[in-house]
Amino acid sequence: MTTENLEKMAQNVRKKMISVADYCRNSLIHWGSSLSCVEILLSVIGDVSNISNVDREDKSRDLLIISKGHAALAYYAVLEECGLLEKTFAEEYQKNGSRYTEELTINPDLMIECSTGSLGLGLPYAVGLAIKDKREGNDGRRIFCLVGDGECDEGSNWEAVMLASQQHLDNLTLIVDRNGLQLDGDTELILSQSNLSNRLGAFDWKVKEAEGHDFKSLREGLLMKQEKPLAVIAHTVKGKGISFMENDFSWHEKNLQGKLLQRAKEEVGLL
Amino acid sequence: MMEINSRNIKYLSYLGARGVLGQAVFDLAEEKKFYAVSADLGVGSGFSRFIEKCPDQFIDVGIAEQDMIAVAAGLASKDVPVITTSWATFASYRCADQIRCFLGLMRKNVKVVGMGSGLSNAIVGGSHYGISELAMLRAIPGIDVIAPCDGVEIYAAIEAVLSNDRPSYIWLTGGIRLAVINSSESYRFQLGKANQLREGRDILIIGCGTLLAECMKAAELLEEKGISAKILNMHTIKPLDEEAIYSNLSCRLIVTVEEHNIIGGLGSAVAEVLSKIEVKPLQIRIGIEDFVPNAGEYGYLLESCGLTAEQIASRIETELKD
Repeated sequence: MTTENLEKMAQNVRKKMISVADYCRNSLIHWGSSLSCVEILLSVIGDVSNISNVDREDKSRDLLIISKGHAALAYYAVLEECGLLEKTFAEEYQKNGSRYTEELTINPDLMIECSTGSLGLGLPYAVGLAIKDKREGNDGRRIFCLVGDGECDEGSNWEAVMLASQQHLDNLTLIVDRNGLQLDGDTELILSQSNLSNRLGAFDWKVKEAEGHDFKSLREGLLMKQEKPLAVIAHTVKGKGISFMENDFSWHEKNLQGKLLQRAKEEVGLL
Repeated sequence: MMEINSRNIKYLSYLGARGVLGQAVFDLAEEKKFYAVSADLGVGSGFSRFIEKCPDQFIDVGIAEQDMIAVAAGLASKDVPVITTSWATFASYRCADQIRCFLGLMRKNVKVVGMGSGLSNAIVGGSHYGISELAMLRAIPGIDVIAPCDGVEIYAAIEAVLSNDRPSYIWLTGGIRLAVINSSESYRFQLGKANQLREGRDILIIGCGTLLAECMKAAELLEEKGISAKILNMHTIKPLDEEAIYSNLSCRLIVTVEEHNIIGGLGSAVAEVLSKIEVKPLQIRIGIEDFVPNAGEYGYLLESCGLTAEQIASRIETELKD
């Protein structure tokens, strides 16, 4: 897909995301961490993988594990934009009993491979899937896993990082949404992830830094030839696309209404 | 799989709990495909022969129990189960959230074996006692919890869990030699269905795990004093065989006995059933009275927890006199 098309789709995704606020008058939404990974998700689902154009039951279909379960909103909007939902999700988002939960809930119809929200679960699960493919000769398909940079605090990820290189998982790609903020603030002031590349490299992973809102840069990273597990550290902006949310950790999870909602709608082109 | 005959019953009791686990996994690998994942306890789980036979079906994740459960969940499918092994406390508490999410919420086809549970790692000390995990595991929706009592039952339980697609936890007590509790060749294991081990009129003892050997001896001691005890082997803690309790309410006393904290284990599960009944016998819960016993030999620990046959019998006798 052309970069221009993807950029247009990213705009539409942000419109769809902001539009849910009209149906969620009183609730909190993880705006910041969903807005930071729109391009990453579009790049994986709409560009570099076969996820959107292979049957869901097909064993050759690539898999995406979204370990940062609070990016659910971005994921649903990306699915819709890629034509993978039968109807719009906005009205159902967060509603009682709905499949469109605030944190991702396992659902084959929505290609949600793993319930996440409890951080540090996705990568070791993805390692299990990748080992299975290797052991069963299901060559050729890729297992992608998206984690947040704050999520890298969780020790379970590092158990999985070690095992992935031990098992030579050249079918596994980790993407870190490196937005620099977590719930309590700046990742560098809480538990620094600034040398993530060196850390992963030391565990014998191939590592590539990328601009996380630039489709060309993401594609270059994600399509690198892999002879070992690959990590793409995607530098992003938390709250990307909504000026007053950008780089403000208080928008990790917040209610959006009133004048600010109006402004957000104007900024994404809904008004 | 092995036939249940007197020779094999004896053989399995000599293998010890982990030896039986290894034997069951080795034998079952002939019949169906599954994966085994261990946290640096592949050999310690008795898996050496299985690993040699099916190297592609074994993954050692290193000393990383959280990884063990999550990787197992990734490997598991409806048709291909995964069995995981570590020491009970690490196989449960260290990776509690992974069990909750992958087995509970996502219902992955993973069978977690907690080895050396109860007080069987006696010499090692409190870090290795498996005396609390049943409380936590019972409260996670959707997980079968099984506490087999001897070699033949461990063998049968492993076969049973690897033949269904439900998530489960196997609470493996017992050391390097196991007392034979199920000595009959007609023994059959059915998940969720308690087995009666002994007929009796006056009281009902409900036990689980290898401590049932003490219960059997206690019943003999009580018999000498004119107290007739029926014994139920409640090998499945969840789903609990409620029917077996309902149909045994005519006794004077119900006694639950477990190598586990009296909070949250078998005794609590039975009490939850009895709480639904208006007229019922009194229940006493014999188990570890919410403390951590000092390390020592297994017999010493049983005694410090009041779990020897003599102590169980004496406690029951006192209760009946009062």
